[in-house]
Amino acid sequence: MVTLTINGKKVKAAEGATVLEAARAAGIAIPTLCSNDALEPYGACRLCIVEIDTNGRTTIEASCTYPVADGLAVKTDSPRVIAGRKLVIELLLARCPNVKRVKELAAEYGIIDSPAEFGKENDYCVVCGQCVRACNEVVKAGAIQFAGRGKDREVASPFKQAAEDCIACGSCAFICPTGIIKKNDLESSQVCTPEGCKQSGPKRELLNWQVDYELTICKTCGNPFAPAPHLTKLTKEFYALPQFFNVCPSCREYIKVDKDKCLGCGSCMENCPVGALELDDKGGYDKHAQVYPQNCMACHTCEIYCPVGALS
Amino acid sequence: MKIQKAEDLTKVKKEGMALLSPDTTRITVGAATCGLAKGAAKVAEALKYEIKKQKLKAEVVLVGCNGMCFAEPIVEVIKAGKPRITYGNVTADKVAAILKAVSTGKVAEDLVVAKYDDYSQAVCQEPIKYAKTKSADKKDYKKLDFFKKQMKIVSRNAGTIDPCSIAEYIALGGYAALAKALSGKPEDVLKEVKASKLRGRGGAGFPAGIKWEACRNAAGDQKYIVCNGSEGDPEIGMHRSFIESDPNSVIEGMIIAGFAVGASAGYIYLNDRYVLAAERVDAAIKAAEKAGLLGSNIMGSGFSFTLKVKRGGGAYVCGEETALLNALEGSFGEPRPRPPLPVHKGLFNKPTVVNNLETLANIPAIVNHGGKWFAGIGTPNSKGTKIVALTGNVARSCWVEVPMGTTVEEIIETFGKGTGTGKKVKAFQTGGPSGGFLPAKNLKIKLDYDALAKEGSLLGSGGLLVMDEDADLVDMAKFFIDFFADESCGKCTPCREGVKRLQEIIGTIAEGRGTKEQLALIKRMADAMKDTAFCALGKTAAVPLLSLINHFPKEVDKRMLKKLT
Amino acid sequence: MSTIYNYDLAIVGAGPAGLYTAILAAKKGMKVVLIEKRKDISKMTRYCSEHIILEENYNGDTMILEPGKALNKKGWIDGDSVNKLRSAKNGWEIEFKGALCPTTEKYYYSRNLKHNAHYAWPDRRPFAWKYDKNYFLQQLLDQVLALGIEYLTETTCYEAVDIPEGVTLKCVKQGKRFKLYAKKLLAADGATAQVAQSLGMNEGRMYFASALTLCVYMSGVKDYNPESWSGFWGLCYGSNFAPLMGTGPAGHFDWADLILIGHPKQMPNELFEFFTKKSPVAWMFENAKIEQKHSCMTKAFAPLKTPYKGNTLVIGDAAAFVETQMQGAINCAVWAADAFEKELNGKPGFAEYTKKWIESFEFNDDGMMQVVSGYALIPYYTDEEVEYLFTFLDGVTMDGNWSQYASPRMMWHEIHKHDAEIQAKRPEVWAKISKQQNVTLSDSMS
Repeated sequence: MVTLTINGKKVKAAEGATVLEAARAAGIAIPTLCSNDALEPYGACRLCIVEIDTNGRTTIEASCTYPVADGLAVKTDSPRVIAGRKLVIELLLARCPNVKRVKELAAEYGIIDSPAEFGKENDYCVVCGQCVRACNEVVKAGAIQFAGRGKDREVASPFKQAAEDCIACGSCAFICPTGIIKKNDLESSQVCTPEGCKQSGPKRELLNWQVDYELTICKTCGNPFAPAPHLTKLTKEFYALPQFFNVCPSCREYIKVDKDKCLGCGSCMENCPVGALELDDKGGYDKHAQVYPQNCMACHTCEIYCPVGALS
Repeated sequence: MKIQKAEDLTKVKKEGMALLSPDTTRITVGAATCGLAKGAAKVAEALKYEIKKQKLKAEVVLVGCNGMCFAEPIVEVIKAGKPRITYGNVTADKVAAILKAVSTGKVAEDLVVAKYDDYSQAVCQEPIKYAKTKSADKKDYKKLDFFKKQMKIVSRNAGTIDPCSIAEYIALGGYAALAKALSGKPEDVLKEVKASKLRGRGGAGFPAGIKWEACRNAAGDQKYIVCNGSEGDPEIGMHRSFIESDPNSVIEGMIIAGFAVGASAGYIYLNDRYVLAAERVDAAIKAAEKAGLLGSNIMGSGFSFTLKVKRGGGAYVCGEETALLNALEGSFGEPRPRPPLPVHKGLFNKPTVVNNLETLANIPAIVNHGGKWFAGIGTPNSKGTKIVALTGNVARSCWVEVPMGTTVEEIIETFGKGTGTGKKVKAFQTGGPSGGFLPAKNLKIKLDYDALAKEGSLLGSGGLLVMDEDADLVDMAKFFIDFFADESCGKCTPCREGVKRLQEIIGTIAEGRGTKEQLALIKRMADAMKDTAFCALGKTAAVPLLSLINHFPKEVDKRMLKKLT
Repeated sequence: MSTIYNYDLAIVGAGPAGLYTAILAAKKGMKVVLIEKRKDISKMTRYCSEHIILEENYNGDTMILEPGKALNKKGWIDGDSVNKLRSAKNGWEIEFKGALCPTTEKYYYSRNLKHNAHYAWPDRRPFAWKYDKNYFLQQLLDQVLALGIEYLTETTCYEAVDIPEGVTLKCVKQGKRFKLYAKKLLAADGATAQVAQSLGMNEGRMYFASALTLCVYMSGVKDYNPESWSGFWGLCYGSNFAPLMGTGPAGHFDWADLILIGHPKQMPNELFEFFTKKSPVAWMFENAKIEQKHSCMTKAFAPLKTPYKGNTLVIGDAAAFVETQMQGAINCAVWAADAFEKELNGKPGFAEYTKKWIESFEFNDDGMMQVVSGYALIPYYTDEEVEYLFTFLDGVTMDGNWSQYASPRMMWHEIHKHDAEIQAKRPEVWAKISKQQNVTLSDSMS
């Protein structure tokens, strides 16, 4: 553990934590735009800057990437910090005047409009990179990336054509702070080609990447629930049985434990590749396996390994 | 031959000396990119043709650049029993005359630029002896200001040796420093580099010894030395010229660096445009490998080191060390957050020393002559020498190496011989676009990291751009902002959006539609961008405009239709 | 998000290997976290046998057991006895409280109990002792807790990620997932070798079978002798794997411990039903009562010859061919603690550990795997053929031993004395014997 001061308040933090994490844990608010708990810190938006004093030397740093250390003196709202943040917001406002989050930040910092001397655009992408980072770090599909340099930097699929590696999971749309990435699930649609038109089933569109896939239909309730490439990827990564994804999460059956048969040996738990089984261990010999359905992939490994056939 | 001990160096030295000062005639042509651009290849061809035609016993050798870019193409004649003669502004049609003079023992005086009876850079180099010049000869190089006022530590061999000949490099003392270092302990090398107080020559000016020590102490099973040869500033090319002229000095510096910090591999990162430089460095690496000076168990010391050349994509931002590391790894040329510093987590997340090309080229001299000697040159806070590329409104465009502390005025007068346009100097820029404009009243400023930083400029990698009274500074400022706009990687908001807006503003000023509010905004943006931008590019992107407003308000005023109140 | 490898050593599994390494590592000054899937380790999950094996040089070491009390009237040692277990070769000594029951006889029966291979010392001194493993583990855990070692229960590590900087353990507790970070990892998670699996270390290991095991404690079993260990060889008993009968648990040495080993196609419950109700020994269970049932699943992998990768060391059953026994696990722990101390100081501790691992355990010797396959009597030989071969063991008592590598060796040694006769009288059996070395372990375990 290290001790630092933030705005004069002594704060303890674990080694390896960032100043932003330490501040938030201590209840001190710092605005961010490109930061997300699910992603590695990136340091692009520069909203989270703070003033840091180390042994008399004062610098301005991005708190989301700066590691805590003993004796750091951090100011999150000094005049320099506020001036810097205001410029960042003004620049964002000039680029994206109609993005809700940008407008909120502007209001919070008393900025009515971007300087008259700035050109005005009407973009909706703040180039925070969360979509790119989610696709590459978390989903690991690698379907989109940054393209272009400087003011031409944008998020794109390779060669700005239909993103071949996109699994249409919609993580990019989910994580985008401005809402410019849209995931549209359509009931049914007409697909027209020079050869003619035909009706296609429910599908998902991610027009930003020129992607659309038909949605898999649940064999039980008949509702569309996920696109095939997304399910293929999950099946492979979690050793799921192919038929696991024939039904949607609401209808899906998971492993059940027959408590009368279960002897609590824990073999199922040991072999579960995703940690979905545990021993409901009330002490003594009275324990049974219990399933956590949200983690279960119904790969049936545990079923195979139960010595007494208590799982199905 | 394979060099396995210091005695082997002596043998190769003899070979090399025989090449540098032969029994027959050696004719060199300055064939770095600058010379080639001015027609040196044609001159070399013409020489070869004439030599054959005149049946002369002479060898044409392509050498590097001696810094006299204003006098290129340069041809030097080294004939046994005669002083070494440097001919300047040689064109193919003048070749016959030069060679005629050679065969008759005379000299084509009208083309002579310099004469040498020996060539040695005090303390730094083995002297080569030629025949004596007449004592009254005013072209004796020791009398010429161009050479007298330089202190060629780094560039001692440039223009004299064949860059592709390891023997010639060794003849002039090359790899002696490596032998010395390897015969001792890494800690000894570290000690000398720290004592030298050598500061990084790329721009940031961070003390090399401290960086090396931090890398040495960092935990890691694999460490790297990376040479930053990206030289992105738009107006300069002296590092290119230098490494095309003497790649071995950088190689030797890197091997010693590897030994000192415990790194077993290194990369020389070159600007993508530096095709010839990459070829020559590659050839030098292969020759060094063949000689056993790279590879495993160098000179029987047990230390192994390998080197590779990598050409970058050409982005200016990749001169920033963390963006460079990203580029080397094959990902975007955009900077990484610091901390962690590259000395702890650098290339492939391993401890890495990233040093500028010129910084590394200083190392052999420091090892040979000691850190204390080096610290005796220069100013209290800026030790050693600096290669400066003099360009813009100067009569003689060139690159030179001067001790730190030399004033800008001295450089412009002595080497550049003034503006050459009849007009006085109005402004000058050091350190590339991030240096901004300094007015003539600062001409007496010393080449010194701190002195220049104090004026809001920087020493940078050594460019010195001179602008005379007729230069349009608003256009110049616009040029530099356009440069930043092209080169910004786009990662962070202040640089990507800020430079875009600055570009718009200087555009309207240049068109005569500027306003007073814009000027105030520029000042505010400069401060805020300095604080908030991710890397030095964004942090200093507003400096051209800021220095323009601060130092040349009248010029700005003139450009705007409205008068400033 | 930000990771820091704040533990020196993370240990997965609070069995004897994990517990003892934790103790030694903590005493060496390492910051240790011990992760255990169960809430209460004193209620063990693998009951096959809880024996301390005394034979000389068993798995490279000789155990010396000093019971704290004398045998009571029933022939075993009471639960309040303070005993000492010492390693002759590896220099450790553990003092532990608990009941002990000697094993003095071993029988392998052919069909219908007609003939048997019999192992015992002439003076009927014990070659193994049944001990109270539950209590033993609890005592080790008490030491762990007394040393202040961080101990996480009900926490399963289902995946480990190993990079040069350290190891990330993906854990789950009560459905909630979280991560732990350590510089080094000890995988002592037992025969399932799940941590090794997640690191890809099982890829080179031949996987023979999953042994689904049911253990049933029964009272009132006729002809049950607490001092004996029996195996029943023959399809007449219901399976390829011989049902086993050993000593009951501490506190109930009078109960028989019945062990049925099955697999997904022949579940152990079925085997139990058959063995106790329909097999030639069903009469033993006429008046027997089921007191407790336990089960476990063991993956039979070939042993890990290189039991380490990156920052992770795999020890004990997790790296073994089936089992190391408690004493083997303790040896692994002693070497492992040394190995981690070295590795954390940049020295090659894992390589040294491996040397000891390979040298000590019989199953690491390739030849041993062949010997074990010599144990594969069923179904290679028919019940009748086994009976025929066992006739040569009538009246023979071989030296008392536990080892499943030594026992078949001794048995075949005896049988081979009659090779000439077998060759003459039963040439088809002789043919099988000659081809025996080609029988692989997989054949017998399928």
